[in-house]
Amino acid sequence: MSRGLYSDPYLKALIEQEPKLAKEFLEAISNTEYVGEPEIVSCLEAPDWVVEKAGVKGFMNPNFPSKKYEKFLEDEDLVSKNFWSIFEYPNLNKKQIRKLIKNKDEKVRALALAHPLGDPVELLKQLKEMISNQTHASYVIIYIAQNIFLSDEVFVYLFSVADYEGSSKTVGQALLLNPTLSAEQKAALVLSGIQSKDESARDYWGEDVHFVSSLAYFQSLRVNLGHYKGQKFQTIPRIKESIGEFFTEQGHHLSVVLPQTSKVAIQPTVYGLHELISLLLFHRLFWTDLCERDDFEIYRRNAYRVDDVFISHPILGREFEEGDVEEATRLGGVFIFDNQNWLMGEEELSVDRAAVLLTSHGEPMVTIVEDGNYESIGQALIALSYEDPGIGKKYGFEVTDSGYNWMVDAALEIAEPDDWDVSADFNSYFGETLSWAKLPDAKKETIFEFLKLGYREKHSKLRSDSVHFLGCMALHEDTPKPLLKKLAELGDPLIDEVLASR
Amino acid sequence: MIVSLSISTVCDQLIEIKDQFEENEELLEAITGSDNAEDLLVAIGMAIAYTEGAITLNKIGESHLKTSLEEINQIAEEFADIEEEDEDEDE
Repeated sequence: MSRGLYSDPYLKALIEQEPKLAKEFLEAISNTEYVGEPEIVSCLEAPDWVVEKAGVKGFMNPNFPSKKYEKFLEDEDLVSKNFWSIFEYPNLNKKQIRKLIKNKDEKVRALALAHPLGDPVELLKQLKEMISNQTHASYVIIYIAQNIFLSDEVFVYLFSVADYEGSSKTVGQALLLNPTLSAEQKAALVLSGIQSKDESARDYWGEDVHFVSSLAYFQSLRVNLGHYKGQKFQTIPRIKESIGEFFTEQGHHLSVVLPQTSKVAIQPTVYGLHELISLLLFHRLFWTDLCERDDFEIYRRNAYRVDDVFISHPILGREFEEGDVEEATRLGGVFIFDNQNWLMGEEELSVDRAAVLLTSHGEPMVTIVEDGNYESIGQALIALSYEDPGIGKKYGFEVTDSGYNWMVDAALEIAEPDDWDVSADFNSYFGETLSWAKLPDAKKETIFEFLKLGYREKHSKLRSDSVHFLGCMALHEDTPKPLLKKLAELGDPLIDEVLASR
Repeated sequence: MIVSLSISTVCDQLIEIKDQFEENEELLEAITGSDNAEDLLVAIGMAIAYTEGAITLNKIGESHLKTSLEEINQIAEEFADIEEEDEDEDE
């Protein structure tokens, strides 16, 4: 889910009503590397002095100081090195475009000519030249074909080289994705039979959506932001509690999981829902309570390039249990295990698996040695005797307890991630405070409204996530009766099945 | 006489042979090509495992290590003789 520039109403309110507090909050962020993160540089309320600190990443924000940008343009090499960022600046003017058209770098020239203030006639010449010279910057041509409003002449030319291969797709496939094409141009593409490239997987995992104001909750809710983002976030000093309290009063969407009530009603939005789910706050809210049931528990499952976390439950866990293991991350509620602080993961290489790995499924010693694995002959022998206990008897030896550990240690060197037995449970040291049972009924209603927004989305991860949590809501004993009625009114087969099982 | 060697010395000598495998592929091939290659390689594996405390040996095990060392030494000697002959021919 990519959002581009956005407005953060809670930050706006803070700036207007508590300017000193707002300055303190923004200063704490802007003095760290976190200032370059998408939710900061794309926020329309982020002041010029904040986005300036983000450097070239801040160019996308209209508040970036124009003089600083102008100065940057003076250095052709810097422009060439940061050409994508240069063209993200929303206040580019005709004079600046003219300057960029003269840049020595063909990528910069092409993008400047393709800009709305550029020159479509010259762009056509530029594209022809790049293609005839077999440019290394084919991705710029693909970008232009996919995103830029194209004159008929440019479209006709790109259409004529539709088979030209970029790094990710052909020019024709890029044109198919261009939202600015006229009806005639679209018709020409469809009639030509160009096949679109399947980008559904990409749509599933777009960038995470966050708000600047949400940062005030990240610390108190101890959310996981992934390795790189999390590292940057940790450099931000402790954010004053009063800032979070101000946002809660304003009805911030993240405060929906907190038991406190706000003065202003929380407005459910799709972006808010996306953030609540991507931060795994609903997972924590529902799963912590539901895992107290006998039929509901955390289920971590791995396979080739897969390490998923979900739950096991006769109804809510059925699709995960029965579906394709390698595609299961797309199912509602499923996420990738990443040592989330609220979970405690365990990985173990079993003796069984280690034995299989070291003996390549029971190959004799000669084959193992001929394959070049003579550094672990001792461990391979133990593995063989594990698979065939007759070997120890025949040759007169018995494996000690430490012998099996020694064998497993050798197998660790060659084990692939999917060889491990994995498990996960709640981290008892985390001290979880989120609980559906502890929320006031009004907040439960609001969460239902959030999830209903996601439920209305078609064929997206957000929709399946919403169905899963609505199912959790239907299962939870502390869901108020009026909400159960609303859940039934949705008419979803999975939710209905859960309701019937109560 | 190998029979009179302590079992730890037998193991050390078998491990020394294994250590030559990387540099001396011909020796490795000579052992893997012998009629009872599996028994000999098991003995080398047992020697390493015993030294690491990963296995315990009974009389059969000890005897297997000693006879295997004897056989491997014989293969190594024959192999050394062939190499010497080859060198003489080259000269």
